[in-house]
Amino acid sequence: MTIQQNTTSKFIHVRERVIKYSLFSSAMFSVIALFAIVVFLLSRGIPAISQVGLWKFLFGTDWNPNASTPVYGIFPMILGSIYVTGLATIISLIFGLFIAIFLYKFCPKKFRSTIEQVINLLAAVPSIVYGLFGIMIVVPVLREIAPNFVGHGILASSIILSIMVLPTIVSISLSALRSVPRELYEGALALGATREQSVFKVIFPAARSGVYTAIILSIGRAIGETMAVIMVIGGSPQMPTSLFQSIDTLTALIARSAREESGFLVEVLIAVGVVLLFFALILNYILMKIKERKVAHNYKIQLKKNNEKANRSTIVGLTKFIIIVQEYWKIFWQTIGKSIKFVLTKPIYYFAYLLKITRLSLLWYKFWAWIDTWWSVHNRQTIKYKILKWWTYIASTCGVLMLLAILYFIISGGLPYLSWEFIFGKYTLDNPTLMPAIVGTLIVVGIALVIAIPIGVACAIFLSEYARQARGVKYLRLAIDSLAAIPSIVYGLFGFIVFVGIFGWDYSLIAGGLALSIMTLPTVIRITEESLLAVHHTYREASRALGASKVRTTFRIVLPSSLSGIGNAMIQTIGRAISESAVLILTIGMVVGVMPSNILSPGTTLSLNIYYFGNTLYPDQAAATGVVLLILVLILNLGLSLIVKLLSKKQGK
Amino acid sequence: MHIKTKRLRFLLILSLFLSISIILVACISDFREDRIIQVVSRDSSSGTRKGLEQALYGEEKVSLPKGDSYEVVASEAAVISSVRSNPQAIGYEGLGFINTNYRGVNKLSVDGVLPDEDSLRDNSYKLSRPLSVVYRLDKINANRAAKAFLDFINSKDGSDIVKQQKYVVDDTLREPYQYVPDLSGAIKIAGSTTVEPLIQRLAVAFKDIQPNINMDNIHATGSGASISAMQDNTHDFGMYSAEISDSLIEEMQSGDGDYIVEKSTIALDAIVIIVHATNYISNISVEQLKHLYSSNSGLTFNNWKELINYGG
Repeated sequence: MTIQQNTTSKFIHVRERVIKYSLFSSAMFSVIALFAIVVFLLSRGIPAISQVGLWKFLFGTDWNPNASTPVYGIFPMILGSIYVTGLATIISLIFGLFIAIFLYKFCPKKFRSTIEQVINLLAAVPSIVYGLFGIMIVVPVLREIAPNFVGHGILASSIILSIMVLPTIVSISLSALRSVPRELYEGALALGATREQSVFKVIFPAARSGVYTAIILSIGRAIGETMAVIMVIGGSPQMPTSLFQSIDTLTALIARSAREESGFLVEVLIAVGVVLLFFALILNYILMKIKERKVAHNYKIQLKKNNEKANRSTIVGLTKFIIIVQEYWKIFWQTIGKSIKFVLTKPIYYFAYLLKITRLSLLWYKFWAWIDTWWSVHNRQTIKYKILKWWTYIASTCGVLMLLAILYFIISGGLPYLSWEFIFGKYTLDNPTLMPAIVGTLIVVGIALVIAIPIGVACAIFLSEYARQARGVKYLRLAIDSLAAIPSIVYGLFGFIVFVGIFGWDYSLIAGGLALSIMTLPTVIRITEESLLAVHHTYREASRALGASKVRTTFRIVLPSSLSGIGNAMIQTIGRAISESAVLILTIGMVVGVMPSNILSPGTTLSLNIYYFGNTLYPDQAAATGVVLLILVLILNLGLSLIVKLLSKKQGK
Repeated sequence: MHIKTKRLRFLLILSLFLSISIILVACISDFREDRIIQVVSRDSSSGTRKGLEQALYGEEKVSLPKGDSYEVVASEAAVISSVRSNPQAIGYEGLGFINTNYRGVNKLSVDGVLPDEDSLRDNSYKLSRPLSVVYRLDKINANRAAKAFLDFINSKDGSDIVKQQKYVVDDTLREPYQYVPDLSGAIKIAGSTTVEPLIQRLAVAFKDIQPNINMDNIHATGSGASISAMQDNTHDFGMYSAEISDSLIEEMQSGDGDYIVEKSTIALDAIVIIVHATNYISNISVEQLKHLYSSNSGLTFNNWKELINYGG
């Protein structure tokens, strides 16, 4: 009896270790991938940079490869990328965070899942369609508003990009909000706070880490976005000085000519890719520091106690700086700030009072009766949060209307050209069809899913369940965040150098699928991890207390409870894989008319077909392909959400 | 009461946004002389751009002027969609492309000559360029299939297909294509996006005659790709959509080993200057175009009025 027990426990022990290390090794995959990307890009880019000269390359303000003495200065493009990305992120934060809060608390239950679906759908609209939308609607409208009658440029690109980035911000901050324990909200209510106050002052700050993740991922997407930007940015390589001016970004520069040019210019463009890569890595590093600072800020009381130790760390230096700033701010506020606020706000109150006493007609009376009740019910403190709440309504309306506008634009353009023959017929030059693209899409998405989902989920399990015990997790997280921040065009360049070039696969479906799977990996990890963390810790404790091993707890209790998160990860992966074109254009070959016979043959996907059709003689077919793609994504989203719902029902939730 | 105000709030916000968007879309205006010229150009690897620059400036190296409104786009279709959506725009495009996509844009005559087949044939239209393929002599002699395809392009059958696509080709001295028995093999082609549709059609017709030929690998990325295709010996043919000078041939021959690169012209194409449909200008001179597309002269037009008034 005892011997048997011993062997069983030994077996369990071995199994635990084996599973732990296999999880660890799949977590290391992302580190290896990051390393490979950096090494291969550097090996091609560094020689070109050294030939041009680092200073001239980075800070030269003149880009003219066509001149008799070519000049390669990419400073205008660097600035352009920074401006566009920054503005886009700010706009989409202003909307996205509030949409997330709206969906979390204020949205009527009836609409909640619909609006969520709609926002998820925004992620699946291919970027090339956003570009078309931009050039048809956004640029003409801006042209009328702009002082110099130029619609292209920073503002147009930022608006388009902010719509694209919106679903990333909404879905990640929403899952972060949902993972905040309900007790916090209830506690705030019990203390007498209003609904709005407790959401904005308690829940939202508690979900901060998720918001930072959202910012990282959205900046990564905004920097890397190519196909939409290329259509609205203008493309003239000059220093950006205004919002309405034809400029260029790094990604647009690469995508416009990487496949077309030859000789030294290709090497220079790979060097631009290196700059983009480092740009993303540095940005990511800064954001990581911000996160750390927040952690340090929470523990500043403990850190104050052992000052000597604290002095050595830069983080604590930052914390100290913040404390000093806070002290100064307090003094400033007590002396001057309050009077400034008084001067600024008092006239508004006087004005409101004046309006109040001049109620003249019956119409005004009703209006003012409403204002009166409003004014008396809510004091000034709550009005601030009321306004924020209103803004969540407005932001969500905007998001939904934006999607409807884009949908209307695509469908009205493409529906007349849609037919059974167009989708499933045989491809000829006069009647191009989508059959090769559909097969290609299925293969590429399949490869990406088969590789990214198991590795990503394993990595997420390792991070959420085992990471506390392992050393160097910080660097693992850094690697994952960096992968997320790397622009997709850089993945394209990597696939172009390694899979197409060094592995000798030529342009092929497998090269595209592999590049895509590395690209979608961080998304899978992030979403799965958030959903794993959302599983309440009592589940784990109860399971362990009943005698289940760690592995058993993880795979039987924790993982099934977070299946909806994994489903969400799959939706995002498929959506991204289907709509991605910047990666595939450099790896897959864009052979539109031939049925792929195996994974080594070149092919095309639906989104590449839009690009191809739009660029050649079939603009109407491009719009029709857009419709097909949208319908496909819609079916996928609905089907997966149905599966997730069924699964959670089975769980008895 | 409470529910009613909530609904009202929703409706208010919705109607506000709808009205704003309707007002914004409604105020998009037509062509106006006093506004800036939106110059649309292709990227530097484009054969169409090279063709235009060769036609306007000859061998002189030029670069685009820098201004708020100079737009560089990556494809022929992007030029069309940019010009179609912008009343102030001017762009250029291959004739073969414009024949199938003329909605919403106007063709301009250059120095009083409209681009069409007749004016191209008698050389009175100034902005023309040849569409051609380049190939390595050693590679083409080794690949029987490629040699046969080249013969097909230069045959009467080939030029018939080119003519169907409304391109101009001189085929008075051409012979019909001779069927080659037992021919099989693969042909790989890379290069210009302008030439590619034409080559695709030629390939389909060629495969009807010689069914055992594999022509799946036709990559269209831009004329520049044909240079590296010759240098790296990766493709049988490179497609090129501008005049091929001797120095370019030399560049193509600069790869590893000793080999000779030859060219073969498929057709003659015109570069058409296009403007928005509401633009009432019908003619533009070569001089005006020269100043518009190069910074070398130092002369810039701030708005359409200045361009129209220049040179009468």
